[in-house]
Amino acid sequence: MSWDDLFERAGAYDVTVADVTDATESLRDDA
Amino acid sequence: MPDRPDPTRVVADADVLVADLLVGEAAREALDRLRGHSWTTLVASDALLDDTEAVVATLANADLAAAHREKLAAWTERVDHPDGDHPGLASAYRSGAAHLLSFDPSLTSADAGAAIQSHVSLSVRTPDAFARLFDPETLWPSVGDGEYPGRDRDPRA
Repeated sequence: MSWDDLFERAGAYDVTVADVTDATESLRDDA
Repeated sequence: MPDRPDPTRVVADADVLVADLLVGEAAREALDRLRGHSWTTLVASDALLDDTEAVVATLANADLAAAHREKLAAWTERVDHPDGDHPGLASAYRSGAAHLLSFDPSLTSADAGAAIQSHVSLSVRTPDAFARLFDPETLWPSVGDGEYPGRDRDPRA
């Protein structure tokens, strides 16, 4: 699968950088 | 681990790898610089890929997370570090990378940078700062002969 294919699949999700940083912080806080 | 950091070796923390996939923007621009140049190396530990896969599964779905991990595993060079270490920092430190990309202000702030630099020569930057400052043409003479040939790999393949 190419990067373009992955990015096309990922385009179905409405995600912001803030969502990503919050989720990453939460994951590592819980670890 | 190497004595001096290698400017062609880069670690992107989990937040940047996830943002590359799900957001685009600066994270994708930064990583396209690396995808487009075969003589650069993106380094990641298994723990870093674990975190990335878990966050993608949370924000999107497990199938996309697994496909993304498989792609990253094929692209990145693996490095080991002790359990419990910060996966981004430890991947950079253990691999001799010169750059760590992160959105985490606890890593990218001036105070954090000074504290990190007191232990290891590592530049921690946000993706937009990295995209502005990382210049493949300037690095080329240290890795190849002749004029900078430009991008040598399709960054979206």
